[in-house]
This record gives sequence, structure tokens and C-alpha cells, in this order.
Amino acid sequence: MIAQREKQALKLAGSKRQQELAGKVLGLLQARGMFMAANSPIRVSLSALTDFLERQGDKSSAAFLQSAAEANPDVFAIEIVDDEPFIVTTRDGVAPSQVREIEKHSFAARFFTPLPKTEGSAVARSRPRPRDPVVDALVGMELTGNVEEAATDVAAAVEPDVEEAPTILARIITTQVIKPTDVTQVDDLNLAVALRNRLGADPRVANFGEQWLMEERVPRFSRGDLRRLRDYMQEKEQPLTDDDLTQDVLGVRPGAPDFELVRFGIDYRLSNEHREFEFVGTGSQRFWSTSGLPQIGTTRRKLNEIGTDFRFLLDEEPELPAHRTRESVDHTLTFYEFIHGLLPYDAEMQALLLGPVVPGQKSAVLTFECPQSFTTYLVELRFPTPNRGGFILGLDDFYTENLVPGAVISIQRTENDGHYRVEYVPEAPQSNQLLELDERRALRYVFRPTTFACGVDNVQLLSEERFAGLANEKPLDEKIRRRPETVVAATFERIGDARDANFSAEFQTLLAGVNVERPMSATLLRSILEQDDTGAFSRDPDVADSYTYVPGRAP
Amino acid sequence: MSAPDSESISSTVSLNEEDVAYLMNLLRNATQPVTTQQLIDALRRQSEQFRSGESFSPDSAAS
Repeated sequence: MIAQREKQALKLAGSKRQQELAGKVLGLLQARGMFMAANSPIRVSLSALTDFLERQGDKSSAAFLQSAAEANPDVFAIEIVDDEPFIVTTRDGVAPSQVREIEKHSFAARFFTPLPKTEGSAVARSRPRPRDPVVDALVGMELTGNVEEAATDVAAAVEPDVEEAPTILARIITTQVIKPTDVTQVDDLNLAVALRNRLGADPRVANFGEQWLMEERVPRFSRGDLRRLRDYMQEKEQPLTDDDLTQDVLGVRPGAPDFELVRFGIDYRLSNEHREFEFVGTGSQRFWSTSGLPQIGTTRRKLNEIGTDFRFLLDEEPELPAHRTRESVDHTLTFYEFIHGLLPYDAEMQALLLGPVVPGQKSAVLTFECPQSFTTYLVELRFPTPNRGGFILGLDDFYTENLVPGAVISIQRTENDGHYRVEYVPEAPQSNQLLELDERRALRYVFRPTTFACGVDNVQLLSEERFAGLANEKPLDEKIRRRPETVVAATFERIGDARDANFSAEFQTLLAGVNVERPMSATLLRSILEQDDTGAFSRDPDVADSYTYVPGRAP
Repeated sequence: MSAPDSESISSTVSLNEEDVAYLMNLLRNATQPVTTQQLIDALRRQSEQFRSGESFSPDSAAS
């Protein structure tokens, strides 16, 4: 608590002349000690005061000055030092009082007046002597009667008649040494899972993909930084890698010592911003996406609908896909894949491509490079969900510029798990009437003269001479498309050879025709034709690998 | 590199407190992100060092 001292008006005693002189002296002394403590004594010799007053024109004698001071004992004190009188006062205008020693206990007194040493008692306190632990060697052994008696006698004879000293029991705590786990027999895959299992659940450790760091060391970004990252992606209108974001938005150059750290910071921090950012990358190319970016690939059909079309792949994919175990995959393009710019994420593609990098990842942006056209395409791999198949989209331009339905392409993997090379077989240019979807008026299939210079699977090539029945046909209604069996039946009617009100078609021709409307694998088509309970489909005994369809029997 | 599934986690080796403490110490001293492979290599080195230390311990030397 701070208390303000009230300064009281000073009343000086003595004659009028003495009061006047005492006032002057007090003013002089207070001026001299203006920076001293309030109760600190201010000393000035009487001779010095007399000289000063004389120089000021006051001719008062030293004796009169002393009498003026003596008339005010509350204000001044007179001290004699070496036979010279000194007038003493304080800044408060009171005579300095002698500080009385504090008699009660104080902290300072404690140091100067230590307690006297306690005298030891005349009789030394007996200490219990350490005794050797008694080991009973007979514990656990069966004692006969004689031995027991003898032992009792011996004990009685030996035991001295002294008071038992209290036994001190020593507590020994034994800690078990924890050995590190022997991991010499464990393969890297299992160790990685064990690491992820233990460290991944620790909030002190930051993890993204295959990288780890203490959470406290990961750079943090402000809301403004995150907004700039999002705005930059929206400005570029496509997902961007963490490399691009680190360099272009945060301004950290690849050679900088903290580049890797900031890059990891982007990945780790953005992965915690689920509402604004989505990871769509791979281990080598860590792409990030945000809301409001244009869709990669076709807009002809919704992604959910395409996923539903590829649902049959869920039944055909292995339980534990061995990702990136194949070097390359050859694939023949179907009409459905061509017009939508797609590839199926089937068992073969899963063995070539990668799986989700982070749990719950829905899609991955990949780059497909075509060395023949010196073009790299940004494509999106949509991972399978419990009720939708996986597929790759974004190859529309590559297809329309270089290929036709029925073309054979080869996709090869590279060291980079997000970058692939796609090639077609270059051939001499040839022309043919090929199937197209006319979108100018009503949707309708038409045959148009087409020149192409790529290798094709002739069985899958949708030429007018083999698939003339599709000319001017409208795409099937969505209700019919939804069921593979009804699509097979409709395809028989469109392209099959009519025989006695039945339709017959070779399997490969049927496969190409069915894939005009919806994706269907050879496995699925074969199972529909072979396992039909209604009797609508049956094997044609006259032609090898051919089937017939009997209209009117609901498949 | 792909996300782990729950089935493989249950059938793998588990790390004890000594291993975790060793890895945490490693991460505390790291100024750059450490890869899973680097952590695995460190675990293997630690395991080998412990084994070689055990084989040359005074007890084993006396026997």
C-alpha cells in the first residue's frame, strides 16, 4: 500500500529575529540535502553557515545562530565534531532522532546473533550397531525332532540377554532393464507400420506421408498465409504442388536451407485444414487442391455417375492390391473411355499406379506425359469408394488429338510415383468410317470418315462395316444403361446377326458394342452371358466364342 | 507409398518404450524432416549395437 505523507506547516520558536534566522538556516540545509532521504541527517558546520550568511549580507554572529538553532530543538540538533559545532536537521525539517535498535527478533539480527551451540548430553546416545543379516539356511528344509530340540538349545545358550536393537530394513528397488526390440528379423514394411502405429498417435510428432518431425519444429502459417495459398491456387485454376506453393507464395527458393522444412510445413499444416484444402497428390508430387477449382476432365457426365458405371470393378479388384509392381500396362480404348477421356482403375492399373497416400484420400492428381506429342496432361485418379469404382479422367485432349476408339495405348511408370508416360503405336495414316457421338442436334450415333495414325485392335475398332446397326441410334435411356444385362440385350439387337428372331454376335464384337454405352469388362460380360438364369443369353453352338440372344425373355 | 490398412497393423511387430524413446530423441535432434526409411535404419542400427554390446559384455566374456 502506498501512503502519502502529509507535510505539516513548520512553526519556529524564539524571538522574531531568531525565527527569521532559523527559517533561513533550515532552507539552506534543506537545499543542500534535497536529494537525500527524508530522514537522513543533513549536517553543516556553524562556521560555514555564518560565512555564507555574511556573504549574503546577514551579519549574525555564530553565537546568535547557534542560539536560534537551540531555540528550535524539534527542528535542529547541534553536534560537536572535533570541537566544531554542526547544525543538523533532515529534509522533513525535524531534528534527526537516534535510531533505536530493534530488540525483537529480526532477519539481520539472526545473522549477527547466532544461537549458542547446544551442549551435548553427558550420556552418549546408544546407536544401533549394524548387524549382519541373519540367513536362515534351514528354511524350506524339514527338521527332525532332535535337530529342532538341539537348535532350540543352541539358540537359548548363544542368545545374550541384551535388548534387541531395532532392525532397519533396507528397501531395494529393482528396475528391469528394457532392451530395444530386436528388429533384425523384421522387414521394412512391418517396421514402417509399427512406426506409424506408435509415433503416428503421438501428438508431439508431426507426420505427413513418409516424413516425420517434432510438431514444435514445424513452421506455422497465419490465416493470411493460408488465404494467399488458396487465392494462388484459384488464380492458377488447378491443383498445385507443395514445391510451387513454397516457391511462388511463400518465396522460399529450392536451394534455401529451410526449403524442405517449409515444404513439410505446408503439407502438415494444410492437412489439418480439412475445410479449405484437400490433398490430391502422391509421395513424389504432393498436389494440393482447394474449393472452387474447375474439374479436371470431362463435364459430360458427373463424377459420381462415372464411378457408378465402374462399380463392377469393385468385384474384380484384388483384396490387397500390389501397387506399383508392374512396369507398364497395355490398354485398348473403348468408345465410352474415348468420349469421356477416361481409363479404368482396374486390377492392372492398380498394379501400375499407386494407392491413396494418406488415409481417406479421395483422388490423386497425376501427370501423364506423351513423348510423341511433347505434351504433359494433368489427370485425376479417382480412388474407389465402397460403392463406386475407380477411374482416371482428364485424357480427353490426348485421345481426340491422337487416337480413335479401339486404339492400343501403353502406360509406363517412372521413378516418380505421380508421373507416367503414355504412348500409342505410330502407324501410317489410314481412313475409315468410324463411330462418333453427334452432339450438334439430338444426341445420336453416326459414322464419319476419320483419318488416324495409331495402332488399333481391329476387333475393337468401331467401323461402319462391322457396327452399322449403331448408325443413327440414340444413346440408351439412363434406366436401361443402369443394368448391364439390359445393355447387353440392347447391343445384341443393334449389332447382332438376326437369325430366326434371335440375335447372334461374337464375344469380342459384343464387348466393343456394349462399351459404347457403358464400361464393361470382358469378365463381367462373360459372366452375364454364361450365368443367365432367364435363358435370354446362350452360347451359339455354330460359331466359336459366339452367343445368341432371344428377345422377349427379360434378362 | 500408400496408406496403411488396419489388418496389416495388427499383424506387425510392436515397438517398446525404449525404441520410442530412442526415436523421439532422434526426432528432437533433427532440424529437417526425417523419412520413415531413415527411422527404420536408425532402429536397425540401435538393435545391432545393443546385440553386439551384449555379446561382448563382461559376463559373457567371463563365461
